Amino acid sequence: MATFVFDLSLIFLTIVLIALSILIFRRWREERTRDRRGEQRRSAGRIYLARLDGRQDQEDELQNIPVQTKLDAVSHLMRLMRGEAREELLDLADRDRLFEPAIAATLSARAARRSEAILTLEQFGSHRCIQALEVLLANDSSMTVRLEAAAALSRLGALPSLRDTISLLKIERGSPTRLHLALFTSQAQIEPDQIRRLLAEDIAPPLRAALVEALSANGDLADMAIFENAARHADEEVRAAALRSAQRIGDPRSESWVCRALSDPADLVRAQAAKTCAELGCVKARPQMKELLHDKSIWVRIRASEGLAMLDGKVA
Amino acid sequence: MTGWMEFGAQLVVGAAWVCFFIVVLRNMVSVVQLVVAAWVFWTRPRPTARLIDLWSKGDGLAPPISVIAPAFNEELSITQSVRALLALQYPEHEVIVVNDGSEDATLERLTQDFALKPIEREQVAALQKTKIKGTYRSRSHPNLIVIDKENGRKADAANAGIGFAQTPLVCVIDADSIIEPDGLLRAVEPFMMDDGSLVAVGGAIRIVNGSEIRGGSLQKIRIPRNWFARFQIVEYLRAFLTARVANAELDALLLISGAFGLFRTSTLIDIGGYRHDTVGEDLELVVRIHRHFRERGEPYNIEFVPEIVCWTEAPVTLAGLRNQRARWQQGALETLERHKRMLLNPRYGRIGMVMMPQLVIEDVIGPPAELIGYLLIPAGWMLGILSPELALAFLCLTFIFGTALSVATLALEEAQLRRTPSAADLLKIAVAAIVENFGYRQANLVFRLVGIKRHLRKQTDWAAVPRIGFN
Repeated sequence: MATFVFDLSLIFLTIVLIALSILIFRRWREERTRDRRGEQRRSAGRIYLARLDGRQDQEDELQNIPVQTKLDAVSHLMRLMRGEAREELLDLADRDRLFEPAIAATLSARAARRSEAILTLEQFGSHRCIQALEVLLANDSSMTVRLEAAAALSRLGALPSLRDTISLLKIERGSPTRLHLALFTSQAQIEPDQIRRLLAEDIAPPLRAALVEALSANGDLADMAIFENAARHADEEVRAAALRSAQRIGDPRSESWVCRALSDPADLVRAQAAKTCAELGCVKARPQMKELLHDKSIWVRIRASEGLAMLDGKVA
Repeated sequence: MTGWMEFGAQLVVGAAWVCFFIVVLRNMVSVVQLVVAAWVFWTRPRPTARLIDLWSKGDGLAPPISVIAPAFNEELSITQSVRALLALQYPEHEVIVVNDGSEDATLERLTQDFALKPIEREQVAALQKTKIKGTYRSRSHPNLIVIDKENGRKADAANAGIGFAQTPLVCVIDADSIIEPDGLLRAVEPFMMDDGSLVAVGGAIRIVNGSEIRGGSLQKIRIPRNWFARFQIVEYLRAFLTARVANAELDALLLISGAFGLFRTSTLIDIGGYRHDTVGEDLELVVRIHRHFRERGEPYNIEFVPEIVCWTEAPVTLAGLRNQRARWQQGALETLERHKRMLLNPRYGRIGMVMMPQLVIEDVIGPPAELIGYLLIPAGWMLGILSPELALAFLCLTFIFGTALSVATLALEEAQLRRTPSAADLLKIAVAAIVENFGYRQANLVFRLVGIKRHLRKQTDWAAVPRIGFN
């Protein structure tokens, strides 16, 4: 037994020492070659600029530069370029197959690698990058990776229809998280009609609440009717979301139905109504808010107290 | 006489084997944790700045947080600490400083530097045992609240702050914690993907000794010259990168460090906040959260973020280390005693059946068993009672296997997080990971015995850990 324990301990120690030595060596080499890599990146940048000018005389030099360094150089140049030149540079990078490692990484068994690939694909956003992101959104086994792909596509303005996205993220019947809400919010600024269409359908209350709240990011006063309608919904989360939306838009026409919500049976809704009334500067709600100072819920009392202080400040 | 000697010899052999198997068990637990942690790091999608961008820059998407900072006699550093907390990257956070009956000019300094004015603020729940003397808000920074109260230790101060928090989440920190600028963003990320069951999140904490601190913020990470501090870097890596990552993955995280913990406010209020009568209030709180939800049969979740969220100063003297480790040990024993009905009780699931027994092995029988083993096994071998093989196996497990576990954790850190500044620094930590097994680790076992003794004597006084402080 002693020999077994001795051998096992020694083998374990040897393996981890070798692993750590490799990692330390890798770090040391990176530190030593940092300057050279910097020079290579600048050189790659110069060559790409020359190619954009139609000069092809340094192709051989480019071949000797690692793909990641070339990608870094292109990434740096893209931040400085706009319009046609940027598109041309993207085409060059695509032709040089610089995105190939990232596209290959989307097939990795490790979610960590797929997630890292999304960063590269989103940064460049070429046609092939978008295709790879769409595949991730549709098929990835990790819902977090799918959501990251959806966020990347949203920023690139290439997100599939919201209906399809919701279905691919499997949240039609479940509860959307705050990250889903963030995605809907970013989409509301680009494609508010898709959200309006979804809200006209029979959808689960948690999803409805998220969509109602997201829609207000668009800031369109015409949506007030949708929010007013949501404020009458049977589900308290939807009613509270309608009030948050009214607060964000700040349209004084919503005052009447926001004030009505001060007597809502749900604590959550009354507390939100007090906050929204204050934000809207709804002075006529003051008597009702004073009554809420004696509400059974401490959160309603706190929000009413804060709201009254805010209204007093606004009047002053 | 011979009969007695034989009986004594058998007793020594029996005790030696018990010590040996306890050490084997502890090492097996560590290996399982290392493997699970490596698996987690290998498979998890890393949190990306882009995903944080999606919600942190939007209006009203991030849940508001109250950062609770208890302060006792901090007049020299309080202004810088509060400025650093106010400057944390987060869309909507307020800082609640709880002046815990400071005998110096902590409150005066805050009043002067942040233009405090008295306010009326309703306390959502009065969780503290001491009297609140006043509440203040800063004129220059409206998201700074100061609570002035009578002295009552950290748990009481934290409870007072929690009671005044009006946000869905509270982040409880130590007065000397240095929070990473994006620490709140990192820690809150699990709440962004939460289905409603998440109640607490812990984060990785590192040793700040030797690093450059300016204005209450970490400017440059450096490796300390002091060997005690280096050993503690290795210890913290083992604790945070393997044990806690693995336990959280197995839904069995028992400890969120008092230096940084993010909690759902309503949960803390429901369970009555921190206990005042223990020196290990952070461990006790998390165990009580488990107990609370499991007794009610309600779904809940506690997560851990392996990214560094906070830096803390480690004691660099033997006396300081002894006080700290004895206190940790005492806290663990108090928690075990208080929640002994959870032990091996299937009602508490894996917490009762796996984690509480593990706590017993790790904190009750582990330290004395290893220490006794160091004395008994070589002595037994020299007296010819024990086989040399057993002595060799024991020493292999404690020295070689222990070293391998430390080195493996360091390799994991470098492969995944890479927060050690340079290759030379990595080498220094690697040397510390080897050397700590020869003396430092054994000294810690002795300090833990001091904690056991204090617990048995029901000593409840709290010995402060002397620290050097930041520049």
